[in-house]
Amino acid sequence: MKLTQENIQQLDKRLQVSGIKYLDVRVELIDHLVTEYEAMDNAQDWNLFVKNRLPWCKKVMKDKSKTTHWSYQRSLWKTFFEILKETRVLFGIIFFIGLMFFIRPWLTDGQYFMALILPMLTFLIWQIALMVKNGLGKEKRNSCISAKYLFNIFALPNLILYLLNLLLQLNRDLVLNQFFIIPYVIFGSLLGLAAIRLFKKKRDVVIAEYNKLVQYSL
Amino acid sequence: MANAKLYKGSLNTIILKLLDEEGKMYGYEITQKVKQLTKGELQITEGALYPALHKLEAEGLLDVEVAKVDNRLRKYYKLTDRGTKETVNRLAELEDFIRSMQQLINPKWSIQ
Repeated sequence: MKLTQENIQQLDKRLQVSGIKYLDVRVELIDHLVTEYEAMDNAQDWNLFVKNRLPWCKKVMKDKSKTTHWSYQRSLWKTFFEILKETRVLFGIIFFIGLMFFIRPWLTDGQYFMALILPMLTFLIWQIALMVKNGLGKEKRNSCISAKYLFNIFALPNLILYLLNLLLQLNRDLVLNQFFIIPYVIFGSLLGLAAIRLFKKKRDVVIAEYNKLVQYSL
Repeated sequence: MANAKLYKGSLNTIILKLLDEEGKMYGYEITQKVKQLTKGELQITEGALYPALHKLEAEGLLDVEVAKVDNRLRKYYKLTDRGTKETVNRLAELEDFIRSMQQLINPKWSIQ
């Protein structure tokens, strides 16, 4: 039995009311349910059919959310290890280590700490700038799962910075130990850089996907 | 229907192989194609299909193409360049696995 445009619009509204707000998921679910229903030899009542399939629809959205989130986290680590292989980054690390040992005698503990976390702070400000001016407004974030979870890429680098603050309060001597703090800052900074690169790369893909969906749904 | 647990580990490879042969497919089409090829022996449930498709897409093995069909939008999946290479590897792994199983179950008979 062929479904009408009205049936499809009702299904779309029903999915939205059920909490499936992402356009990219809804498009796929609508097509699947409609195709399946239209292919049935003895089609049951359309509303009953939709009602029975709603739990599955919610599960698809939940699963896709998880998959998207964890794929971003895996990509973050992949980008991190790619950065580590870059010659200019390796030279940068060596220069930073040398500089931090060289300037230590001339600085107080507070000044030295600030000098150390400067790279991490720089990447944090860069991240904030990207989050503010990202081309992914609220509408896009609420329309695509991939856009919604994109900002989570920055969660881990920011956690590293937050933990440093916590450690400073718990064990000041450890934080000011050069053999601890320098590798920690390098790790945090490179993770921040990896997050920025990944965000920029994924953002373009997400915007393209969103534009395609909107263009076709008009 | 055969024991679904036996197929579970091969679901991604089955999807990749189908897309390699067909070019591009949508979700429902994949379930029907598998049913048709296996004469109903194997039925991929939607509950397993979509998480697998989304995972392969997130891994960069599949690309999505949106098209307007009838009165709705349809998402077609197709292999990326990486996906095409990965299909070859996974099929080789699956063949090795089947060969090993064959030797375990019936050492006198081999697919070689």
